[in-house]
Amino acid sequence: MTHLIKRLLLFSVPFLLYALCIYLIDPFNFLGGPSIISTEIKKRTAYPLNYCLWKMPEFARNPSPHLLLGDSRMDALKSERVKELTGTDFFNLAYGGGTLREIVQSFWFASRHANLNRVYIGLNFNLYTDYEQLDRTAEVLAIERAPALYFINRTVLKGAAFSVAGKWLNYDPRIGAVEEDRETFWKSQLGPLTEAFYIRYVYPRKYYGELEKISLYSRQHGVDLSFIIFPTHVELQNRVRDFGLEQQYASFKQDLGSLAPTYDYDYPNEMTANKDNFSDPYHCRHECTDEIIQEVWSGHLKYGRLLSGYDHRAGF
Amino acid sequence: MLFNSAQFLIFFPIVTALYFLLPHRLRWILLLTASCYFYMAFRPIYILILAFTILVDYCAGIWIEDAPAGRRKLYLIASIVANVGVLAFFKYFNFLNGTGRSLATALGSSYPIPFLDIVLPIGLSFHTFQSLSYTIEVYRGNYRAERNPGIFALYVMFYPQLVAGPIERPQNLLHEFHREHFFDYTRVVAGLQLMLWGFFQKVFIADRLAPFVNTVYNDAHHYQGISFLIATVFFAFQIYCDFSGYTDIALGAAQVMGFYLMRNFNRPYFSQSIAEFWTRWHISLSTWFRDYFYIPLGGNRVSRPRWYFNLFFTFLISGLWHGANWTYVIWGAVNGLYLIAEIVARNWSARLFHRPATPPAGFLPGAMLRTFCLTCFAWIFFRANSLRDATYIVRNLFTGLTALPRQLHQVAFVKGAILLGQDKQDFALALLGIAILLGVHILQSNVHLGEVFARQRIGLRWGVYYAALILILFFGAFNQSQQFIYFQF
Repeated sequence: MTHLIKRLLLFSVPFLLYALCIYLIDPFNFLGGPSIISTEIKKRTAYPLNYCLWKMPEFARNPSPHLLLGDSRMDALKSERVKELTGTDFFNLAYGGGTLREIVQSFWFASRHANLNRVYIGLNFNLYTDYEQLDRTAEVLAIERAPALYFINRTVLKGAAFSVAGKWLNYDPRIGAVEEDRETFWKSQLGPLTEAFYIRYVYPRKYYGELEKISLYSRQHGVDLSFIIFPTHVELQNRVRDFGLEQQYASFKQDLGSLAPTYDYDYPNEMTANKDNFSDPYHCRHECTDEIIQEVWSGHLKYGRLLSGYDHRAGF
Repeated sequence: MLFNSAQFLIFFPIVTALYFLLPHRLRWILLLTASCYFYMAFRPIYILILAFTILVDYCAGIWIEDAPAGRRKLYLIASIVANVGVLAFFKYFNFLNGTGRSLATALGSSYPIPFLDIVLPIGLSFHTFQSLSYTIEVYRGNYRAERNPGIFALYVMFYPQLVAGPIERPQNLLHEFHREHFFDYTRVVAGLQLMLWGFFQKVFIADRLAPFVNTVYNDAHHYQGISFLIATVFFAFQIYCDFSGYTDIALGAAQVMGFYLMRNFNRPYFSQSIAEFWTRWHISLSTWFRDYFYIPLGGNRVSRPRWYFNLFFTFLISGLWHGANWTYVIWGAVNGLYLIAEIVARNWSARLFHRPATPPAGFLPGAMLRTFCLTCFAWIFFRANSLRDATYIVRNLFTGLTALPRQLHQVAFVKGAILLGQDKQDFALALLGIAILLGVHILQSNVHLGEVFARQRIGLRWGVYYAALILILFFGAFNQSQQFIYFQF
């Protein structure tokens, strides 16, 4: 038996060394211990690999009653900028490439860690589907339940390697960087990417139910919940018609409007007609996001409109 | 407690170390305590059901042995009624009640019996069958009744095979608890290797395939053709790796302590006929049904129509054993019909072409592929969430295949219908897992892999261990619920 124990100990040496490396690098700042790599480098090298793995533990460590949820469009509303323009601290728990499922999961995750007071959910039609709901929060929640999983997570391993390369080789993985020129990228976003969203669109009976639960929870717990439908370029708005989804699109806005105050920027107007306001058909430039912040937080709408169905004064 | 949980990674080495440190006379107490703890980690209260089964069969065994010839049958029947009664109540009450309610509604009459909020005790079908095999063997005079209630309880509850088999016979396992097992380095290492292979099958292959299968089968009406074919083939490998993985972990864990449990799988997807498949798939259950159900019905030593009925009925009940749902019953019926069709076809072939009525020997890829396809077809009923879903899948199994070559150029189609909404890296890993499994099976058909492996240099052996562990740890699926499929039975 001693022979077996010796061999098992010897066999486990590489794994122990590996665990020590992960502990010292801690690419997603999950462990909160001493790290040999600065947060700045990690933010450049590891963070883009999995936004949830970075943001959710960060939220758990520093819970905030004010929350922003959504995809890259909401992520573009930088917390610092929101604070600068509105004077309120918001935690931005939105992720690039986010899905409705991730939004729902993140809401419940946040509600477990903080007494929520004000929540803005950025939700556009391409996310409002029951089909293909990528969920990166699942692995973070699994890690939260069993922190040992952090050490055997592929993204953590990759993040650690990138962080080490970033520190000592000045490596920049440039994850998500657009290599194509603007026109080509614009076309690919309007073409294949939009097809991928709309060709198998499934009206979200299940996720409407999930949003209803969030709306009900918010009413019961005094959470000030609002939706923001971010502007997309009119060319993208017109693609809805190409796939015969006009009715579903109308239902989408009606649904959100029935659940909470909904600020709608996604309709033909001066802002969405101007291509210069957009970096691609899905994402408006930061001048527009600043405008949205000011409008939504002040309540004085210029480009946006408040969707009907929700009585502002009476609440629900 | 799941084998693939952190809890088990602590539980197993502690129990094993204590097992070898304790004197032989105390070991059964350790194993029984550990088995109780293992079972109670799921739902503590259900240990009482297990205790009831154990008490009934322990007493029945002694009474059967001691009673005069006329009364022995009575005790056996009492044991069967008690065991099957518990199983029927917990597993089939709501199913039968629901069926009764549907019938009553269809006939326009009222139905007063309400549904009960029953949670199925984990592994109930397995330990009920194992316990039943004891009383039947004692009744048949093949095994002497166990007088030590603790040892008998351990036979029913032995933790490696408590919740999903293999369904052991007393001749194979019970007497082993009386025998002293010494620490044997080679045996322990072989047991650990088997466990590693089991974990690999479960975590790297089965759990990686699960999201593909679940995506399609949980939302069947949004898919067609190629998606169903991919999901069904994936399910065939998922269920094999899930169950075979569990069995290998069980066999390995028992082997480390010196117990050799019965083999439950023998490369079933290499079978050349359905009859052969059932001698290679879930062997402990197939032989249980053969010995205690099919043969007592008359087996094949009856008229031909009666033989066919025996076969069909055995498979029907076997389907029902798997779960209280019509999908399982249909799955059993489909397999029964396959077997009958195979026998009929073989007899006709023998008559028409003057060939022997036994299947030809040798390697026949065509026969293997045909058997695999038939098995996959039957798996549709096994996996589908409802009979409605199953019929939809069967009706649309080949829909849209003609347009496939054209659609393969569309990114959205490939992402949705081929990759089933999952990452292409995950799809590649799933295929890699299947390829490794098939590769190992091909090697196993020619050599005893364990023995060949043991003869290799330490560097190669450790290299394989490291590779397997890396694939399990870094490429295994740990995010979803990883309960073993057969735990629900």
